[in-house]
Amino acid sequence: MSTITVAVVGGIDGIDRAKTSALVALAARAGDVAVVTLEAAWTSARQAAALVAHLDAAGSDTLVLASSHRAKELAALVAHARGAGLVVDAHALEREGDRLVGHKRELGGTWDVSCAVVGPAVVLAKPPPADEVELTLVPLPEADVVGRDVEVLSRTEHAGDGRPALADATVVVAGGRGLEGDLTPVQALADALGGAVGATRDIVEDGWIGHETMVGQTGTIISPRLYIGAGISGAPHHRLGMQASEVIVAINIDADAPIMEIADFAVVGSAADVLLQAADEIAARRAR
Amino acid sequence: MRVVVLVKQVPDISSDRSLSSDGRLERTPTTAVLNELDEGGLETALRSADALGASLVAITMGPEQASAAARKALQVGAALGIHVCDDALAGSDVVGTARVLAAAIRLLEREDPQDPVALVVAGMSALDGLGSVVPALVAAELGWPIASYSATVAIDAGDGTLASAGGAHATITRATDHGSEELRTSLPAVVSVTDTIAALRVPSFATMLAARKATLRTLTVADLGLATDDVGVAGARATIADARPRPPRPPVQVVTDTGSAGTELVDFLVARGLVEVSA
Ligand SMILES: Cc1cc2nc3c(=O)[nH]c(=O)nc-3n(C[C@H](O)[C@H](O)[C@H](O)COP(=O)(O)OP(=O)(O)OC[C@H]3O[C@@H](n4cnc5c(N)ncnc54)[C@H](O)[C@@H]3O)c2cc1C
Repeated sequence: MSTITVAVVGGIDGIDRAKTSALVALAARAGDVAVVTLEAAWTSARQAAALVAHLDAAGSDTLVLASSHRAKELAALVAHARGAGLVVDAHALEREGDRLVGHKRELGGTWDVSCAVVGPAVVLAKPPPADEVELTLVPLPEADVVGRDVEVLSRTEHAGDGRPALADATVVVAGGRGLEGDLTPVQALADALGGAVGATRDIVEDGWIGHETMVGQTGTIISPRLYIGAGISGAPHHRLGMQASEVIVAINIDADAPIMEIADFAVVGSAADVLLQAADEIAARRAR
Repeated sequence: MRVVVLVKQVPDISSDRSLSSDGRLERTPTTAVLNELDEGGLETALRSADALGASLVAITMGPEQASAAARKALQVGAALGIHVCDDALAGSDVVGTARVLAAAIRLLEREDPQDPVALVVAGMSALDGLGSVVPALVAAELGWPIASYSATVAIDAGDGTLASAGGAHATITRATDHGSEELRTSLPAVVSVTDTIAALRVPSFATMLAARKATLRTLTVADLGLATDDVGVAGARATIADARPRPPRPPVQVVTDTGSAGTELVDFLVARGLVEVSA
């Protein structure tokens, strides 16, 4: 059985070790794993060329990438070049005889689906968090792109806010219009829980908070252990992005808001008051 | 020159959606709508066609009733609608779908080499599968550059030639995993666009009238020059092994805030082991 290649972007220094460990843990359920790194500065086509050259030379049939907007481009280009089957957004992987099986959630987290590939495979993975492991990283040499490619004119990086990234967080506290412009209460509870801050599209569009915090079908699709949605109505677009969360808490002044129906714990009340009280309460209990 | 827009009909996301035992989406005509995320693609394609002096062709693939997606494009100004419809397509995976769409684009170019395709525009994803990989797979099939998740697309017709330094170009901005970037590509190329890129125009009287007269061209797999075992279940490299609805969530626990709901929330989180409050 051939080795599974896990590819991460960021070169040797820039990779996220916790996330890479989670990818390795997911891939290891299906076979032996080797980890290679790609330069973030390369275009998707250049990354794909380097990966295809490596997979061909190493005789590796299966490629695993962390799912993201950029990674979807890369996965498609590699899958095409290698005639591989593509599994999108798998949270678990296993080998059943000659089949590689990816497990995923569909239709807003309401269905469990497993997807099987025989032969070469490219997997876009959304691994659950795992313990950090010792990693041996092999940087791939640059390879030439065949044909025309996009040219990068400029790039800017967000300064992180020190909180975990939305896609990888085990806890997400999200706010919507019901926060009335002030997201401090959301940030306070996120920090008390060591979680990421999320938002609805409406408040991102209104400029209350950055685009990278948007949860939903056109933002980031998340499935943390705990999602807390405050002042959020629960529009289908938003629900599609968070419905697969393990535990859902909703805080809304309207007991009939759609998000209350899919919650495990629903508070009918003012979002800011409840969030701040919970954050203070956690701090007080820890100080005891 | 021509611009192609890829459109798809999907079940309404607020309807009760389900999968069959072999993992295919149950499609009921009454809840089928144009994929909302294709609206920005359609508007971007119309504007790009204007900038290039090109005509717009809408291509869709799907069962019989799916032609409505292409009709919608005709109503806002597309010159031609193509519907690839064939029983052999059922069970296609993303790779097979892209193969069919790319074959339809190649057929257009083969039939009229004087009128090349300069740009293919798609929505960022389809609301049924949310895979977001088909545009990049189509680009790979055609051997053209891809810029997915574009937040803005600006077209420069240049000297009117394609695949050349002084020719038609697109400049794209998009969010990356950690920030944003600006890209430039010569045409032909494939772009997929986010939902906020542009609102779809309202059909004008003239385009509505033209749409009524316009014919929708229906193509089979054989018309595209593909073999039936290149597509559908036969051609799929990834197949659905199992599909089942998840168990319903346990009943919701509701608390009305009378001044202590924040504390009750912490009690709930502690009971579920979701927060550590003691050393
Ligand atoms: C093509 C398309 C794509 C989209 N994609 C996304 C997406 O990816 N993600 C996304 O989130 N949205 C998306 N949307 C937007 C989505 O449809 C909703 O408009 C949006 O999610 C609503 O945001 P909201 O819940 O903050 O606001 P609203 O729907 O206005 O809800 C505000 C809620 O706050 C409650 N409230 C008011 N005051 C208080 C208070 N003091 N305390 C507590 N509660 C209070 C209200 O009862 C209400 O339920 C998309 C829309 C379209 C058309």
